[in-house]
Amino acid sequence: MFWLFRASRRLKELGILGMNARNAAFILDHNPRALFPVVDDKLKMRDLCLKMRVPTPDVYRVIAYPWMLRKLPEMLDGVDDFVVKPNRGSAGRGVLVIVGRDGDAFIRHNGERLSADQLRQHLSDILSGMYSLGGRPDEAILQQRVRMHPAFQPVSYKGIPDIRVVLYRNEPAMAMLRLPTKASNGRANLHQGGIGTGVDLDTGMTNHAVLRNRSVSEHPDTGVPVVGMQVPYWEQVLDMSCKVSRAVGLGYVGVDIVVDADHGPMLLEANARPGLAIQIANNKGLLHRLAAIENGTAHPAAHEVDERPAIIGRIGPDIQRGRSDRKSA
Amino acid sequence: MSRTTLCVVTALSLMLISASIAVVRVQVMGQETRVPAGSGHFKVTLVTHGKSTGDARLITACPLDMGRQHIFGEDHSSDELYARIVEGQKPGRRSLHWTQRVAAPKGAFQARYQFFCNVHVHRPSTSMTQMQKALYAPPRPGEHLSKTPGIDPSHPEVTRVALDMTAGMSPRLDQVRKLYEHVAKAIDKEPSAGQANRTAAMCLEAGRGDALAKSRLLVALCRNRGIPARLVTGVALGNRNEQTAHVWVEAWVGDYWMSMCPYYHYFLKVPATYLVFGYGDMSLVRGHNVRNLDYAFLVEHSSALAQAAQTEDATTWEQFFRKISLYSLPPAEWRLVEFLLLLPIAALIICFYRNVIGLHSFGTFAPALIGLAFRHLESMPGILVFVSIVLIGWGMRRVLDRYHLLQVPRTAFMLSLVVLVLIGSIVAANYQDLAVTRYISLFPIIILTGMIERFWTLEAEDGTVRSFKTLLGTLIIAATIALTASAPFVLNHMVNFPETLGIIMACQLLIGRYTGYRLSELYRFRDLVRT
Repeated sequence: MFWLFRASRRLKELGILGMNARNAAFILDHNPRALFPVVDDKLKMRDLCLKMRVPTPDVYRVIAYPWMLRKLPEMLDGVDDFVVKPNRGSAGRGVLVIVGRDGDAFIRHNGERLSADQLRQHLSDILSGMYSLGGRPDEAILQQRVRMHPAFQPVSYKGIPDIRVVLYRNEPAMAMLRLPTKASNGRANLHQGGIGTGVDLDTGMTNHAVLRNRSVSEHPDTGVPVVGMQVPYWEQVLDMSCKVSRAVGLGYVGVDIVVDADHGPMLLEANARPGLAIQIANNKGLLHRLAAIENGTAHPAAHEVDERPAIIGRIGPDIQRGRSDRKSA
Repeated sequence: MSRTTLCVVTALSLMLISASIAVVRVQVMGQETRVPAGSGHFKVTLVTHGKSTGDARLITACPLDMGRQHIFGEDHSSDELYARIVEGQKPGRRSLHWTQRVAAPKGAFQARYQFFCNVHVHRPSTSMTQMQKALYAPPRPGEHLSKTPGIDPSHPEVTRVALDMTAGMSPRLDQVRKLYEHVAKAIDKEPSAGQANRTAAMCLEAGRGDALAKSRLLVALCRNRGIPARLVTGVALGNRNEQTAHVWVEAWVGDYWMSMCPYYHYFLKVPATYLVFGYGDMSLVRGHNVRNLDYAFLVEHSSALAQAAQTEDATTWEQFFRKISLYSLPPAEWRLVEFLLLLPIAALIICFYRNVIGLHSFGTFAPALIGLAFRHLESMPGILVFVSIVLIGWGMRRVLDRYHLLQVPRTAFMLSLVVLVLIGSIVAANYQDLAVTRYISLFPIIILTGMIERFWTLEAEDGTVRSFKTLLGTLIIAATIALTASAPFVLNHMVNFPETLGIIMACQLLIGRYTGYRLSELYRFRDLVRT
């Protein structure tokens, strides 16, 4: 029984952000519900990116209604290499990566063949809302496929890694690099078995890695060490994340960025409810960093205080508590 | 004011309001918070016992909630039998259907049914008035005139007596009075012992009979003269000792049903303490596959209740609390309110599990409905039925995946499959002589279908382990809710003090601003704790 109290006190000392505190003190207090549609809708996000000149993968086609599926062959004419995504999907659900064609069939990133009928079926599932948030009818988008940057080649298994930056009041609070594995089936989602590696905000070097919540030092499929790796274009990645955070107006946001071999960093999506696993990947709690941003004592961009959006008001109770803990420690 | 302060202040004021209502209620009503008192208030206990010869079935009649008699606080219990209240199958009939529990052996059983009643309701509710109106409507032509079991209006002896008594009289009321006087005075009274099932003619011949026999004779005589008449079965609450059913008579005297009791000698009207269970020749307790069936009523009119009755000129506050008391609801609504009062408790349990412990479940409030559906202890094995249906459904869902159906038709198809499985198991269980309906009568099928879909999605996306963990979480939450809701203390407290809802809402508010760690997070971040 006492273990529970000790463990909870220890977590607080480490500044670990819990789910309740995230929801109550950050999402509810800093992310007005009205701003969610922008981040939950990939097409709206794309438009926003175009407006602020942030590179993002091209959208080749949008399939909005089931009748459009009849014209699928014509629509796919000349497009051999693309990613199918539900417009309002989350956590990598319903994503299909097509790398080429074999006659009428399509080849997936893992080498599987997909007949035209199967692709049509998948698109129809997306339209019916199978993968969308809340099961509402959705649109399917065909997106440009990102090319693997050579730096990531040794640490990825059949998929593209991405970088998640969590920002608080438009300042980067923590970042991680997510690497796909065999277990995650090429997807870079931690709860599906991807690797999460913490990235040092100042240097862009990976400093710690976890697989299914346990520490690892090398990629389970390739055997290459994943700690001590430099993320390419780190400065641009951070700049881009700040730009996106300011544009969407959310006070607490997760920004997902991929690094393309040809085009460099590209925005994948933004997330209004970024998960907590980033703390395990960094082996570090978020609260101290969030409190520092709150006080304006976080070292970069301290002059930006006045530009903070008006929606951000009061200090979350947990931040205050986290701060006093730090002082007493 | 910060949000958390606002929350705490609101919660505290809610608690304060609830507590003060409860305190005022206890101050004003005293004992009455538990059992509303009044001169017309009685507590009646029916105990039935017998020997089962295997698969015993028992039907015990319940009093009607109509006119000036109001029934509340019904409760039933038996170790060997499972009970279900059946209402409205026939107008003017309510009964408890008891069936032998699956695990209960043959042999002796006992069943206990208890209720409170008020026979002096000043302002009957609409449903009470409506039922009264329906039951006291004028008889249709030919109704209540013909031969019924035990009553043969055209028996020669009955005809002779009826003609003798009413010779030369024309007003109906006079005829009835004459017939009543004859049965009340010329026929000797005798106690009803065992199954003394005398018919009207036998009673006339023997010159004596119990309440049932005398009432049958009076009905037969009236009907012989073309006057519609019927038996009324119930309990005479005025007799304060152990007793069995009492039977009296009502006759249509042209413009109203006139009550009379040839056994205790009442004419024109019977005392209000004659509690009506039903009309016609009915036995209050019947059994199938039962031997040595015996029963008795105990009527209590405790002195404490009687004292409270002295102060009939109740204060405004007393009247107010009596008016808003849930005990004034008709029995059917009362059971609905019972269920409704349990819902916020179930929701609070879910809040606790999700935000303080961090347990996942299929659907946020689905476990509440499952838990409440299984809240009667005897239906607990139903949880097993529930799990097996989810698993069977999951198997079917996997097969269905090959068809690649659109979402809504697919869910509809799954729903039909679930219904098919349910009907199949009911039929199969019936073949095995098990009454499954007692477990799945309240089954939330739509929820079940949704749960199968979620189970399948989770299994496909995050693996089998995760989906079974979530299923286990759902079961743990549902079981906690079922156990909490089945504790009689919880329900009694909620019915007596509905203001407790305020306290529950306050707890929900407080959990709503709980920003501490969830129990599961201590495990999730265990590596960080260790460093």
